[in-house]
Amino acid sequence: MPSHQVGRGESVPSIAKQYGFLWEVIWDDPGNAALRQKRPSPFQLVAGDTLVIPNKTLREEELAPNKTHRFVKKSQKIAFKLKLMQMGEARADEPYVLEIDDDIFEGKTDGEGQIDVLIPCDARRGKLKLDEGREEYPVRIGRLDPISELTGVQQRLSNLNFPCGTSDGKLSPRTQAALRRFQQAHRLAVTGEADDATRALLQSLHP
Amino acid sequence: MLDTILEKGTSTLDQASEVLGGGAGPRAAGSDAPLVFENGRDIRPPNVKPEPLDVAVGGTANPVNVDPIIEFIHFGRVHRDVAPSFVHEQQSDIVRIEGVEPNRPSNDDAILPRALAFRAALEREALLLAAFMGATQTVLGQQAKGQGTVGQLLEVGANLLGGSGSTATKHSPADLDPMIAKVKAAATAIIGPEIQYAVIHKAGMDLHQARLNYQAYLTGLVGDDAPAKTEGGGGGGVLGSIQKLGSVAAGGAKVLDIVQGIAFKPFDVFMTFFLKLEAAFEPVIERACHDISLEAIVDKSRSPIFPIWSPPPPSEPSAEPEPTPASTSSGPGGLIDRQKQDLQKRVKDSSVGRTSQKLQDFMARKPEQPVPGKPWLHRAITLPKPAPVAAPAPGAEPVPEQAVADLAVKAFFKALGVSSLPGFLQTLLVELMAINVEFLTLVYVQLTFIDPSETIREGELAEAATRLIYDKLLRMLCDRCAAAQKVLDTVDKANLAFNEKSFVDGKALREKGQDKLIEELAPHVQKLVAFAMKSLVAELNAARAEAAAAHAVTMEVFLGRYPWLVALLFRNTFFPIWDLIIEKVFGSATKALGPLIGKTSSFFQSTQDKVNDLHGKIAGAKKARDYVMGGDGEQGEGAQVGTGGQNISDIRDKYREGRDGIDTHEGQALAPSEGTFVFPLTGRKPDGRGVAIALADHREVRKTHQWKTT
Repeated sequence: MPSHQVGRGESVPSIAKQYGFLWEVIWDDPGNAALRQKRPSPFQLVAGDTLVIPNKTLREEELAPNKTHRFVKKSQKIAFKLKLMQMGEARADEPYVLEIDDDIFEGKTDGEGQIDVLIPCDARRGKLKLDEGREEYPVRIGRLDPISELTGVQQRLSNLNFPCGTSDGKLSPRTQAALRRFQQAHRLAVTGEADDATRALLQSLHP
Repeated sequence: MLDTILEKGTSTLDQASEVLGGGAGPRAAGSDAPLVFENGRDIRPPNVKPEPLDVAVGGTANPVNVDPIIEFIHFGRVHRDVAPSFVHEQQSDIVRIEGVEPNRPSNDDAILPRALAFRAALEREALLLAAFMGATQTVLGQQAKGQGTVGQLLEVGANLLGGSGSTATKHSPADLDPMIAKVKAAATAIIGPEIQYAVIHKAGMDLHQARLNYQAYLTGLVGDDAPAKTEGGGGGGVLGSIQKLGSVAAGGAKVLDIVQGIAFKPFDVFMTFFLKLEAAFEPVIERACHDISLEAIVDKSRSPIFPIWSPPPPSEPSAEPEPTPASTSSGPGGLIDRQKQDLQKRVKDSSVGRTSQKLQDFMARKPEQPVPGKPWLHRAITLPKPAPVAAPAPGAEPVPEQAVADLAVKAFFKALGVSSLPGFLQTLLVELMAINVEFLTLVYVQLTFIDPSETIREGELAEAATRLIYDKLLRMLCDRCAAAQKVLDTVDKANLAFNEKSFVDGKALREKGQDKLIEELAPHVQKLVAFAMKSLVAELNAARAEAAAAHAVTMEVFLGRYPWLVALLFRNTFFPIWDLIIEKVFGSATKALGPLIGKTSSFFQSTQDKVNDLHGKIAGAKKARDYVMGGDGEQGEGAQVGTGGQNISDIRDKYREGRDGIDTHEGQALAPSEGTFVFPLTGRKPDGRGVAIALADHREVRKTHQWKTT
């Protein structure tokens, strides 16, 4: 059975689309049982992980002749959600423009500050614009690493407004400073380390 | 026609008196210029700048928590920051911040209290704008007075003599009132211990609106470079009449036209020059002031926060400054050198018994630490390389003063309605500007670090001027006299007999020799230097006094006056020098030019004095007309066009006496400032606290955010 070595920014849905599967087919394949144990979310793989790609099987359908038959391809889109906050408060009813590949989503956040759209499974990059374009944030889709990785810690800290700079998996002074600020803000022991308590809180705030 | 002109001159007397009595001129329409901003540098601290959002797809929402973006608008440039930067505890902007090493490059963990820094920057901006506007208002005020009195007389005289008349505008000093009021309102709004984002943001916009209004107004005031009258078109005046009588070498006749033109339009020359300086320097100075603000806020942890041009307060007592070596610009033992030593002795002698403090050369003061504003100062007062009016000498490097000299030359073009100047006049302007600008630059460098509370002593500046510019002026004056003499030699004297009187005879001057000339001119140069310094000190101290009272002494106070002071120094040196040249070269050679002697200098005497003589002036103009037309007017050294029958030599002596005193002691009342400047920061307090920005408030301010999206 073929396998796929996960690259940076890849997730099960993006890989599944590449091989012509629904993502659930690949993720639920018994060959990926070990990976499922290791990575609880199919959307948060780590570069270097190996994903088993099941063999394609031919499905036969018996169809009556001289009739029109309709086949519906299952959606290759996937939910994408953001929750916009500012100084800890939800940015409710905030007009936004979300550009993802060729799709442009325009609207207002809901009362919780949420944006909820369906995007292509293999979407990798996007751009979030707020305040009539005066605020613009590049979005890297599928790039969020698990909390077990230091990169995942850095990414979550940055998204929660404790910027670490580049999420490179190194405990740089800037990452340590961000950790200290986070710990201080949440009344944790200020260690500057990505300790268990810190990871647990981060995970709860940013699953 | 002539009678009509004279009647017109007489009928304006009452109006002139009203102007002097404080009557307001016409008010310009007060509509705002289009408010346009420019995106500036992003000043969000590096540790809060958003990274790309790394997010996951699927059913869980990715939280994106970002700080509210705020705007700091400074000199019309929009800088983006984040709300947390704005918040800080109470802090003074004139003391060093504890634990912050001054001028250390900033890092993530050392962000200065930005609300205070923003407020200080806007206060400095207001000081600069108010000074720019105040200078223009001052000149317009002087023009209004001149129009009411001598200006109208001179216009009459110019018409009589075929000149183009005044280039007076319809603008009034009151036109500036709404702009100054806007600056003051914006500055007043930000005074107070609680620094609110909404107020700071609005003040930035309001100051920019005031600036744009001023720039639009200034553009209209300056107009284009087209001369007021095309050369040779109409008139020609006394000299034009003479030209018709005989063949005159073109160069000589042109010189005499210029002499006449300057005599009748000294204020036009001065005002045109000032406006050109103002228009040229305003954006350059503003840019430098903006950039040093940004450096102080973002790049360096500059503290104290308000006085960013100066070194931080010394921690040790001041050391005795090192004596400055004497200028080597003139050789020892020469006549000019001896004259200079004599003046220095006079300056020092005059201080004995008046003060216990040793008289010191103003330029001898030395800063104890590097002056952070010095490079910015040079940027502020250096104009971009201009398209030269006159071709530079082969191999000559462009110098900053050249740009100012070019503006002076253009001012003469415009004010006199000519398209070229005689070489000796152009050289005089270039040399004089080089001397003046170099000196003023040195003065400004000193201003970047001297104690804000300290009054500038006139004697100190006079001492410095004696060392730095006296001999240069004297030498230049002698050289220009000689050059002017050569020009006169091109006139065909044989054909210039007029009313059987010899018109041009400069031979006597040439025979006197250079040393004799120096001896004659030296006292005059001493006096004009003393007067120029008296005037300069008056303006600088007036500016310092108000600012010091509000703990607001900063270079913006002086930089806003820079174009005005360049123009003032030009006025106080050029016109007396010009009078001396006219007297020494032309005056001795022609009775017809007698009326022009001392005219430009006396123009700048008290306008009120002149009102009293207006009727006499009109009569004098009539006499001049009669004389020119071959009538029986008795024209000699005593009966003058420009002085209304008053003996010209009396006027000149009075003018010169006014420049004779060199104040070298403390405690004596300073000469009054000519400027009518509004100080926009009355009641300023250096303390302030950056108030936290509530989200609701931020949403309101965000509606007026000016950052432009691409």
